[in-house]
Amino acid sequence: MKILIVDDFSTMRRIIKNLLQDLGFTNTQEADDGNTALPMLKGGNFDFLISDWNMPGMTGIDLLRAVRADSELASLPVLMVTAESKREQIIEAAQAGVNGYVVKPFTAQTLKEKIEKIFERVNAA
Amino acid sequence: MTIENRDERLHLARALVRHLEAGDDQQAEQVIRKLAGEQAERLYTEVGHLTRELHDTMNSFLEDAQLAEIAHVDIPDASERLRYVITTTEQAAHATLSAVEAGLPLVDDLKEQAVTLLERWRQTPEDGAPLSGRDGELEAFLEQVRTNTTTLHARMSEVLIAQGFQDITGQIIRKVIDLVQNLEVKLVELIRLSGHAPSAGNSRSVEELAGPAVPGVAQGEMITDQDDVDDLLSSLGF
Repeated sequence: MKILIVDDFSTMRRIIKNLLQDLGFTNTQEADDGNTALPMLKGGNFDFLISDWNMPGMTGIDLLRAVRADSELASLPVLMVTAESKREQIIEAAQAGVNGYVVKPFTAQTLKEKIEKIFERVNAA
Repeated sequence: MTIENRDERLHLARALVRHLEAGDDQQAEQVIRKLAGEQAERLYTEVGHLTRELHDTMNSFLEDAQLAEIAHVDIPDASERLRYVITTTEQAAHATLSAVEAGLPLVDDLKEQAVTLLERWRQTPEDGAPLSGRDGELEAFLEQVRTNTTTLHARMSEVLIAQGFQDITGQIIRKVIDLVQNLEVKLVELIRLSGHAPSAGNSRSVEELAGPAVPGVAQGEMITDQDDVDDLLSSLGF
């Protein structure tokens, strides 16, 4: 299971990486923006994408749209982890094809549940 | 409204009517501009005062006794100071995360060993009995280690998660930095655009607005230096 963590704050990337390790996911990589993440995803054989929304270059929602529009990446499971909690934004992400949405600040338990839920659905499909 | 103002307005209004009745559109236009100018005048004065207040407040940061040294040596202005907050909280969060990352494996290791020993001894009661010490002290101890390391792991994970503060506060601070910078630049630009001091030289306004086909007036020159802002505000009478 290879996971890409995308957030412009290095502290948040580190936290998520540690939480994933705790859950047994040790194969993780990081990117600090949608712009740096997209080339990493293409041909990178990632199984899961965790991304923030607000990033200076390419935002998380635009990264999500780019992933869904790419023939190779279209079915990649995507979890958004972000401080954006407005209803319209959550709806926008859902309509863009996000698989899960976690609002900051979050607990380890919440992250675990959302990830497990996504994999349940992916495996069932 | 003062009596002088009202009298002035009345005077201008009568002049306007005269010009309109006589068909002097150009003159009428001028009077209309004068009348409208009063309103703009008041607004301009308010905005000028506000900008001066904002500028002075930002400058007074530097006069604070405690911060003066840091400010004059390391941080020249408010936005820089905010960026400094982001940087130092980032460093502190990373330092904490390093400590937690180093500590967790030690905790997990202890727990694993305690559990292994407990299981081994419990499987061989005859052999294990002398080793468990008086009244099963050692066994009790190992149980304690198992319980405590589980709790310790959970607590350290909480410390880990709590460092998320740096991301959230950092995002808010970035927005404030943008706001402060935008606000000051726009207010100063607005004053430049209106182009004249309150006790008006029409001559000055004509100079500023000379050449109607110049799109560059709106963009102007960005004032980013604090001293330049100070000079500009002073020169405009604020």
